[in-house]
Amino acid sequence: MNDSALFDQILVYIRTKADLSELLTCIEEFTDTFFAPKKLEEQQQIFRKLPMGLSKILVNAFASKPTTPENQIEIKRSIDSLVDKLHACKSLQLTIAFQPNDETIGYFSDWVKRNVKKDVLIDLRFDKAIVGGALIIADGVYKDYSVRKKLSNRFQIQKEDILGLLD
Amino acid sequence: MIIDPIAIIFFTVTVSVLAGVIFFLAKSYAKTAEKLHDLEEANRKQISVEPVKLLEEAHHKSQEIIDQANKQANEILASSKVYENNSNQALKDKLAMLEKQQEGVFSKASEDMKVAYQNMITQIQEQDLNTLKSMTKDIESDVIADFKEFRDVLEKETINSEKIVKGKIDEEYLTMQKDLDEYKKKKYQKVDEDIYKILYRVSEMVLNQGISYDKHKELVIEALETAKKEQVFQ
Repeated sequence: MNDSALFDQILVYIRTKADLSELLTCIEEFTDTFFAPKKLEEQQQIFRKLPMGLSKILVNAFASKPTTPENQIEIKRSIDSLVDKLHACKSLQLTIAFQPNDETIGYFSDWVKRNVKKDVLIDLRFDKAIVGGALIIADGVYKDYSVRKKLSNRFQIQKEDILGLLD
Repeated sequence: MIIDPIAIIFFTVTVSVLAGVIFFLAKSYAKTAEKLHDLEEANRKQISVEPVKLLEEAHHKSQEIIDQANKQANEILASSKVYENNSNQALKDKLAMLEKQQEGVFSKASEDMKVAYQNMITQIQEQDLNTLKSMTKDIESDVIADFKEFRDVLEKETINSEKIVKGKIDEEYLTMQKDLDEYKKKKYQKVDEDIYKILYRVSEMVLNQGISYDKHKELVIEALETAKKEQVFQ
C-alpha cells in the first residue's frame, strides 16, 4: 500500500485534532520500539489502543511482520511520510454549546470532509455560553454563528420594542 | 426768732425799776457824800480849833453816818431783793406762759412749715413727675423714631437680602432640578439597561435549556452551511 492510500484510509478515522493527537502518540510509541526492540505482539498492542478500524490499518501497514534491521528503515520512512501528512492537515476550530457524542462528532466531521476538504480536522471546543449554534475559526477567520449572537442582534434590533414593554 | 412784746415790756419795766433803785442809791450816796463833805468842812474848822477832839468827834460822827448809810442801804437792798424775788417769780410765770405760747406758736409754725414743706415736696414731685413724663415721652418719641428708621432700614435690607437669597435659591433650585432630572434620566436608563440585560440573560438561559440535542446538531450544521456560503473555508 502506498503512502497516499494509507493516509486516505487513516483520514477516514481521524475526525478531530484530539483523534490526531492520540494517533501521533501511538505512532511515536511505536517508533520508540525500534531502539528498544519488543515482540511483534507488543508492537501491535500499541496500535490496539486506537479505534478498531484504524488499529487494523496501522497493524497491517507497520506491524504485520516483526521489525528487522532490513525493513525497519522502510517502515520508518513510511511512518515519517504519514506523520508529515498528518501534521499538514488543516484544522477547523468549532466551538459548540453542547457535549456531542461520538456519533455526532462523526456527523460533523463527515460534513466538513465532504463540504470543505477531506484532510480538514475539527478542533472541537465546548462553551455553554454561546447557547447554541457554533463559533468557527478557519484559516484565521473568526465567525460567530451562535444563538447568543443572534439573540443579541435580535435584542439590539428590537431594543426599543423590548424597553417599551417595561413602561 | 419772734420775741413776745409783753416780755419786752416786762424786761423794760424791770430794767427801769433797777435803774430807779440804782439811781436812788446813787442819789443817797451823793447826798451822804455831800453831808460828809459838809461834816469834813465843819471838822476842818473844828480841827483847826481842836484838832484831836474834833478829829475824834468827826470820826465818830462819820462812823455813825456810814453805819446809818449802810443800814439804809441794806434796807433798800433788802426791799430790792424782795422786789427782785417777786419780779423773778412773775418773770418765771411770764416766761412759762410765754414758753407755752411760744410752744404753741412754734408748733403751729412747725405744722405750717410741715404743710408748706409737704406742699412744696408734692409740687416738686409733681414737677419732677411732669419733667420725667416729658422726658419719657421725648425719649419714647426719639426711640420710636429711631426704631422706625431702624425698622425701615432693616426692612429694606431684609427685602433686598430676601430678593438676593430668593434669586440664589431659585438658581440653586433650577440647577438641582436639572441635576435631579439628569440623575433620574441616568437612573432610569441604568434600570432599563439592567432590566434589558436581565431579560437578555433570562432569554439566553431559557433558550439554552429549551434547545434539544437534535436542534443543537441542526444549529451547528446550519452554522457550517452559513460559513460555507460566506466562503469562510478557502
